[in-house]
Amino acid sequence: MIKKEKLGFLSFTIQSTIISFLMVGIIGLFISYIIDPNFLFSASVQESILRFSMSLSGSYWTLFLIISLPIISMIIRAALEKKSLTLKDEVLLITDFVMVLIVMLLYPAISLEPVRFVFDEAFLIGISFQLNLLSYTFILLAVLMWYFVMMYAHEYMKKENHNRRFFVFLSLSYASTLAIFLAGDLLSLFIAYEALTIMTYMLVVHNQTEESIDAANEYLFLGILGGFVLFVALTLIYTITGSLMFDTFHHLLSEPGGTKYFIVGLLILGFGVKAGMYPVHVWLPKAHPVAPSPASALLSGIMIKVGVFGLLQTLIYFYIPETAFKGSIIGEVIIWIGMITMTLGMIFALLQSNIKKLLAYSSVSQIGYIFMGLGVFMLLGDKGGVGLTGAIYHMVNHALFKSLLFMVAGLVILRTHEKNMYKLGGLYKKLPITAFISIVASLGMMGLPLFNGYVSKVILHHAIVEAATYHSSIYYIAEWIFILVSAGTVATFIKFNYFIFFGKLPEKFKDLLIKRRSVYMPMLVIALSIVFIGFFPRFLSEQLILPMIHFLPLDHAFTIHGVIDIPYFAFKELILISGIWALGILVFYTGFKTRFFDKTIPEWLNLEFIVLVPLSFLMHGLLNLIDPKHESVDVADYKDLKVTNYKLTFKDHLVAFSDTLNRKYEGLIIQSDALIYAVFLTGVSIVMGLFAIFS
Amino acid sequence: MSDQIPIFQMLALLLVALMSPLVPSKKVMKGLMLGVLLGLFLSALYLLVLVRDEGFYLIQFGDYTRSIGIEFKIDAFNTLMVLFISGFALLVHIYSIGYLSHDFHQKQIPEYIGLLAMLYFGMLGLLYTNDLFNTYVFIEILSIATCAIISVARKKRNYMAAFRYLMLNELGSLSFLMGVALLYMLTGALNMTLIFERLQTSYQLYPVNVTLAIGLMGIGLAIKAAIFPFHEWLPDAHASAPAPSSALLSGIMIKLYLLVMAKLIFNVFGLEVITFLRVPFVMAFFAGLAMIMGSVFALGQSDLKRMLAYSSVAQIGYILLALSLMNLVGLQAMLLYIFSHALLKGLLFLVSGSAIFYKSVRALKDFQGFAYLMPLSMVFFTVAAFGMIGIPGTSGFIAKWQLSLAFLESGRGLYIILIIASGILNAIYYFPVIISAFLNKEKAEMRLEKIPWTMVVSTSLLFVGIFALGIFPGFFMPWIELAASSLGGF
Repeated sequence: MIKKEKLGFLSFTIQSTIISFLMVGIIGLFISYIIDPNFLFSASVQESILRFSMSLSGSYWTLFLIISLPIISMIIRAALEKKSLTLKDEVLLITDFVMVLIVMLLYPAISLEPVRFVFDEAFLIGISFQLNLLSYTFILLAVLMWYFVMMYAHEYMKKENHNRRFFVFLSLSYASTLAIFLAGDLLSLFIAYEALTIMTYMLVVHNQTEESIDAANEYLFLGILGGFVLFVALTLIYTITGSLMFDTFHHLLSEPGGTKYFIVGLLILGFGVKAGMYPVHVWLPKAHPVAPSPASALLSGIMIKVGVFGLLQTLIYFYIPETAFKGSIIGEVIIWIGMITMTLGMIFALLQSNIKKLLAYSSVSQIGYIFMGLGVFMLLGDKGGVGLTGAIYHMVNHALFKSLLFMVAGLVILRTHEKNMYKLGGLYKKLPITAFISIVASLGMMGLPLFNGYVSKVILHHAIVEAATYHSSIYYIAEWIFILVSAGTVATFIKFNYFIFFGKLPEKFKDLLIKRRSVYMPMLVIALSIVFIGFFPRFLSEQLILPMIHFLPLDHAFTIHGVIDIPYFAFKELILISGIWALGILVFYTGFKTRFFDKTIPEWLNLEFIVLVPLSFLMHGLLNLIDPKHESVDVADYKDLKVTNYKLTFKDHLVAFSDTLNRKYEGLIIQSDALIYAVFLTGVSIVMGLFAIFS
Repeated sequence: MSDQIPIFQMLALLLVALMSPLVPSKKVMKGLMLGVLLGLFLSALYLLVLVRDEGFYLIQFGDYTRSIGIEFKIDAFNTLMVLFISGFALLVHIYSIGYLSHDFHQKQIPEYIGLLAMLYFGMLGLLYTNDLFNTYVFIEILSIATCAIISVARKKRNYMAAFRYLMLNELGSLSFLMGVALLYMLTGALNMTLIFERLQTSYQLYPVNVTLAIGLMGIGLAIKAAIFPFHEWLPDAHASAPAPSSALLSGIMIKLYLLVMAKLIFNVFGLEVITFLRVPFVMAFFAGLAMIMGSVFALGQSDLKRMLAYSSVAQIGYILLALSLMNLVGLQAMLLYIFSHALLKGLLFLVSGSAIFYKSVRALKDFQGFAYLMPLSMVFFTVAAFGMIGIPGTSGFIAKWQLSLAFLESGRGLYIILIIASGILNAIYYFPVIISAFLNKEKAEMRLEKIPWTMVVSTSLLFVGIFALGIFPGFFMPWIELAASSLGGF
C-alpha cells in the first residue's frame, strides 16, 4: 500500500504541476530569446545575460558539471535511502531543473562561439569535450526530456522493485548520454559510448525475468561487438591521421585505396548497433519493451539517437574538406540501409500485438528515415543540406513523440496489467487524458499537418526527391518506398490507438479505478511541444538546425530554399499526405477485416534464426565429431543439448563443445607429456632448420 | 655503496627464506616479510631513479674471467620490473596477512612465507643476471619454490598439480640448459653480452647449432611461460594454489619467463639472428593460437579459478604477440600489457580468494547471487573483468589500444582481428559470471562481507591501480618507454 506522501505542505502532484508551469514559462522565455532577443528583454538585461553566459561557457567546469550533475544527484538520492520517495525524486527534479537553467543560459555564448576543452593527460592521447550548436540542441533535448520523464517516473516506479538501483543506473546512463553529446573527439565519444552500453544494460535487465535477461544479454553482446568494431575503426583512424579529433578526418580522404571506405563501413556498423540499424537492430525490439516504461521512453527517445549522433558527427567531418565522398558509394549504402530498416521496421510493427514491441519496431522504422536523410547528405554533398536538416529535425521530433508514446503505453500497462493490445479496448472512457495524449503523439508520428512529424517528413521527402533529381533516377523507387512506409506507419498507429482506446471495453476493465495523478502534467507539456512544432514548422530549422550546420561548406542558399522557403501547407503536399493517409486507412481496414494482423511472422524469417541456427548445427556437429556419445561432459549441465530447437541454444552448444574439447585434449596430453614434447621439439627444430638452410 | 643495492635486496630475501624454519611465531614472520618487501620497494624506486639518471651499470662477483663469471646488469628495465614486482608482492602480502589463517595449517605459515621469499629471490635474480648459466640456476630456484608453494596446502589435488608442474617444468629447465650448453660450445662464453658479440659473426658458420639453441631455449621458456600447447600444467597449478600465490603466479611469474625470452632475443641472439631464422613468425603463430584456444578452453570451465587460469593462458598469448613485433612500440605495448594484466588478474584471483575464504565456493554455479553476499568484492571482480574485456577506463583498454596501435604502426594490422576475437570470447565467458552474481536471485538480504580488513585494503589498492593505469597512463608511459628502450637497446 502506498502512503500518501507529502513534503512540507504540498503533495507531489501539486508541486510537479507548479514546477511544470514554471518550466513551460522558462521554455517560453527561452524561445522568445532565441527568436528575437529584443522582444522581451531590454538591452541591459541582454547584456548581463550574455556576460553571464560567456563566463559560464568560459570555464571547463561547466561542461564537467553538465556531465557530473546527474551523478551527483544520483549519489544524493541513493544516500537518502530511508527518506520518503517524494523527497528522493525531488532531488532528481531539482538538480535537473538546475541543469535546464544552465544549459539554457549557455545559449547566447554558444551561438556566438563554440566551446572546446581538452584534457591532455587522460588516456594517453587526451580526451576533449566541445559544445557547439549541434551538440547543444541534443543536450537541450536530453535535459528537457529527462526532466519530464523523471516526473512521470516518480509515479510509475512506485510499483516497481529495486527502485534505487533503477535510478542509479538511469542517472549514469543519462550522464553517459550527455558525455556522448559533448564529446569533442572520437575517443571520448567511444568511452562514453561503452559506458552507456553497460549502464543501459541494468535498465533493460531491471525486472530480472527470464525474458528481460535474455533481451539484455543480446543487447550487451551486440553492444560490446559494436564497441569492438568502433575500436578497430579508432585504431585505424589514429594510425593514419595521428589524431582522433573530428576535424582531422580529412587526412583520411587523401589516403588512397579502400581503407577509408573500410573505416566508414566500420563506423556505420559500430554506431548502427546502438541506433537500431538493420541488420544489427535485433536487440532493440526485445530490449526496449522489457525495460520499465520511463527507461523505454528514454531509450527510444534519446539513447538510440546516440548512435545516429555519433554517425552524424563523424560523417559531417568526413564531409568537411572537399566533396570527396560526394556521389560515392557511402551515401548510397546509407540510403538503402535506411530504406531496408524503415520498411522492415514498419512491417514488423504492423504485425505486433504487444504494445511496447509495436513502438519499438516503429522506432527501428523511424531510424530508417533518419539514416535516409544522412545518406542523402552524403550522396549529394553541397546540395545535401536538406537531407541533413531533415535527419536532425526528425531526430528531435522522434524523440518527442516516441517517448510520449512509450509513456502512454507504460500508463496503459500500469493500469490494466495487459500488454496485448487485442485484449484491450475502449479505454478512452477510463483514461481520457491518456487517450488524448496518445492521439496527439500518434498524429505527430503519422505526419498529419499541424503536428511535428509532418514537418520533418516533408523535408525528408524533398531530400529524397532531390537525390533522384540530382543523382540518379533510381531514387524515385526510394521515394515510393518512403511513401508506402509512411502509409504503413499511418496504419500502424491507427491500429495502436484503435485497439487500445476504442472498440469494445473488455468486461474485466469495467470497474477499473483511475486515479488522477501527476503523470499527466509532463506528458501534456511534451504533447504541447509536438503541436507547437507542427504550427511553427520553420522555428526549429531556422533557429537551431540551420545555424548549427552553417559551418559546413554547403550550398546554404539551396538548403534554405529547401527547408525554409518551401510552403509546408501547399496544395501539392496536402494532396500527397492525404494520399498517404487514405492508403494507410485502407491498409488498416483491410488488415482489420481480413484478420491479417493476427498473423505472426514465421520464425525462419527471423534474423537471429537465420544466423544462429546454422552456427548451432555446426557446433552440434563438431561436438558429435569429437565425442559422439557426449560422455565427457556432464549432460545435466547442458540441458538444451538434446533439444532440437537450435535457435536459442547456440551458447550452450559452444560451451559444451569447448568443455568437451578441453577434457579430451587434457586427457590426451597428460598421457604423453614427454612424447608430445619430444615430437614438438623435433618438429620445430626441423622447420626452423629448413628455414635456416633455405634462406 | 648505493650501487650494491641489488645484492642487498637479494640477500635480505635469502635471509628471510633461511630464517623461516627458525622463527617460531607467524606474526614475527609476517612482520619481517612486510618490512623486507617495503624495503625492496623503496630501494627499487631509488635504484630506478639512479639508473634513469646515470645509465646502466654492471656488478661482477668474484675474480673470474668475464666469460664464465657471474655478472649482474642493472638497467632501467630490470629495476622497473623489480619495482613492479615488489609493489605487487607487497599488496599480495598485505592480503595474505588476513588470508593465511584460513587455507592451511597454522604451523606452515612461516614456511610458506619463506617459500615466497625464495620465489622473489629467484625472480629478482632472473631479472638482474647477465649470465646464461646463472639464469638457468634462478629458473630452477623458481621452479622448486613454485612447486613447493603449489603443494603447500596438503591435499591430493595439490600434490597432483605439483607433480605435473614439476614433470613439465623440469623438461623445460633441462631444455633450456641444453640450449645454454650449445651456445657455450659455440662461443665459449656464458656472459650474455659476450655471447651477443661473438654470435653476430659466427652464426652464419653454425646455423644448425644456433637454430637448435634457439629452439631448445625457446621451448624451455615456452613451457615455463605456459604458451599454448605447453600450458597443461598451468590450470591445475594455479587453481589449486592458495589465492595469494595464484595471484603471484598468474600475475608475475609466468610473464617473467617472457621477459627472459625478450632478454634472450635482444641481448643474446640479437635481432639479426632472430629475424634471419623467422622466429617472429613462429612466435606470432603460437601467440595467436594461445589467444584463441585459451579463451575457448576458458569457456568450458565450471570452476572459477580454472577459468581464470585459462584466461591467463590467453593473455600470455597477447604478451607474446606484442613481443613478436620486436620493435620499440611492441616492447612498450608488451610492458604495458604485463602491468595491466598483473593488476587485473591479480585482482580477479584475490577476489575469488575472498569468495573461497568467506564461503568456500569455487564452482561457477555457486556464484549465483553472490553479489548480495559480497557486494564490494563482486564490484571489484566486475571491474577487473571489464578490464579483461577491454572496456575503456580500465587498464585493459589502454593495453589493448597500445597493442593494436603497435601492430598497425608496424604494418601488421591484420593481427587486430585476433585481438578483437579474443576480446569477444573474453566477454562471452566473463559476463555470465557477473550477470549471475548480480541478478540471478530474486530478493536477497544485503550483507557486509566478513573478511579481514587487510584483504579489503589490498584489493581496493589494486582496484585503484586499474583505474590509475587506465585513465592516466601518461604518467607511467615515460618509465615504460625508458625500460623498453633499455631492454631493446633502441
